[in-house]
Amino acid sequence: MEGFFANIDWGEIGAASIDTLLMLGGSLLFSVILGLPLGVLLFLTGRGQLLEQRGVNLALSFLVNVLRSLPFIILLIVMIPLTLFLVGTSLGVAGAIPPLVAGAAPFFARLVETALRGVDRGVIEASEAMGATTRQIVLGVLLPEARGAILAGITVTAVALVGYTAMAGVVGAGGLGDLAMRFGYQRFQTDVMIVTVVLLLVLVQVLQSFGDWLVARAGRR
Amino acid sequence: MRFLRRRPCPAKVAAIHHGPPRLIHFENVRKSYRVDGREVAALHPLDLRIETGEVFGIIGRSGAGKSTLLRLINGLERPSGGRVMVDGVDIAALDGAGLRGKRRDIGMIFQHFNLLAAKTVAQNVAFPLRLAGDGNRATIERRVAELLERVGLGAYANHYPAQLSGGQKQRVGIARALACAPSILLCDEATSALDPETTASVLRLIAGIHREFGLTVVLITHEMDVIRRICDRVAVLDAGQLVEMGEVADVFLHPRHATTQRFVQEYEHEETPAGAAGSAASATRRIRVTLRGESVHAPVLARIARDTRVDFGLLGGRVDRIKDTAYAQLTLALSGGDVEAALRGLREAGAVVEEVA
Repeated sequence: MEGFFANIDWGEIGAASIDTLLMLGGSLLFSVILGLPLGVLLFLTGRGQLLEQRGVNLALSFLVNVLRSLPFIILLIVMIPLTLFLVGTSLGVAGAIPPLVAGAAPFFARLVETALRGVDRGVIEASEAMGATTRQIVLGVLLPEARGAILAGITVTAVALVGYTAMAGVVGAGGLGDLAMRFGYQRFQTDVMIVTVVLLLVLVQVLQSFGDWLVARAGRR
Repeated sequence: MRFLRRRPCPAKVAAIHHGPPRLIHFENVRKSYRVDGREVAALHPLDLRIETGEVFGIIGRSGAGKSTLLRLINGLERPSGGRVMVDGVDIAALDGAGLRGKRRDIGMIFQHFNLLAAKTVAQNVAFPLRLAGDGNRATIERRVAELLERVGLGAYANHYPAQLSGGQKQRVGIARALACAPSILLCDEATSALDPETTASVLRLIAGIHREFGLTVVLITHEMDVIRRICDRVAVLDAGQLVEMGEVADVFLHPRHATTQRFVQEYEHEETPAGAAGSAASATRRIRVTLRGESVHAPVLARIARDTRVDFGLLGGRVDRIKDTAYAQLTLALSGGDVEAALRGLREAGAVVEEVA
């Protein structure tokens, strides 16, 4: 066992961990900021809903499906011009965030749509009968009532993003996935591979447990 | 409870009144839905007037159109033809803001309560006040406390709906519906999910609130017992048609339409007492006698039996109340003596006498 961790540069592991966390945090934040309204719109414009708009619904749905059907690795590459335009670089943490968001926001939007569909139709009707505006129904009824399911959706999205960040290493984003790829896989440094994978595993565990705790807290009533 | 009294409401001020005050008026209203490209009629054209301050019941089977009828009043459904006038205002002609203003004047309670699960009892009751932007935090809190006290849930302000029984949930629903001091209360099968005892107590609460605040109550139900307990007038819907309407006592004691008769029979849990026919002598006349009000408790039958020497055989019947009116409805077999004189005597005593085949 002596020297098993010989290849490991703990400083590099630390920097990569921070990169992963930054990518995860940044892309999760923007995925929620973009995905939440998108999911609400998908729901509201749907059949029989408050703002039923068949055309808008089909267009949004199509956009979401296109982004979700593109393999993430392809999305990373085709988005490079847009990424350059948005953040000025296609490399590093900043360069990884736009494609990560483009991959995760539509996914999260679908989860939000599903969560809102779980809200009792009668509760929405009761709010309409009380004279609520659509805005009041969204902010005061739909989102609070679906809070648990939306938090669960954020958790699932965060975990999915951990996987995406590893792939983002391909465009030079850095992070633990990149380390595992370049050192663990390409240079056969098994110890680096094990350490990065264990760290990613711990990250996913922590995210899932924290998310579950939030969901349980939201549902405690 | 001052806040519960009517406050001026923009929609009301703008109301244009035509003729005598008729609060809710359906003018040749019909409603149809498109199902798989075909028009399906939910309500055939009907006219209906619901007077200010009455408790109006609509009874019908599921799918008879009663739910649609109720939802036309607060614009949750739009008529396919005709007009629904509330306080002289055509509901379908209101714009978004106008309709929302009007809806604040129309409280509604539901079969499945439709409370916000993520909010406490107090937050649920405060919700319509917050929507309306009525008052500051302190006034809303005070109103909510008073409303909860009125429906008997003062101690449950910080509970969540999931922690309450069905009857308690409906009480929260009632407090919420009353929050904006409406002049109309719509009850959508409000007691259909409750057991008989809880049903009775919720109906007593609604009747009490009706008396206290003089609001107009429109309720839909499939149970004649609900109609009997609190309604002044009733309309009977059958397959989207208004088949019978009138004072509850009239409709209940003398139902004309077959659907109404079935509803009454279901309530009484009895068929017309045909089984007794065989045992009665051929010389008997079978009649149904209906007495209402004070005469129920007067010794009418005994007196007439003595005077005319007619024997009264009791085949079936019921002595009960319709809202606040006592009634007795008895099916009798008359034999011997002067039967015609007995019938005259009954009619003179204020009874409605019908021959039963």
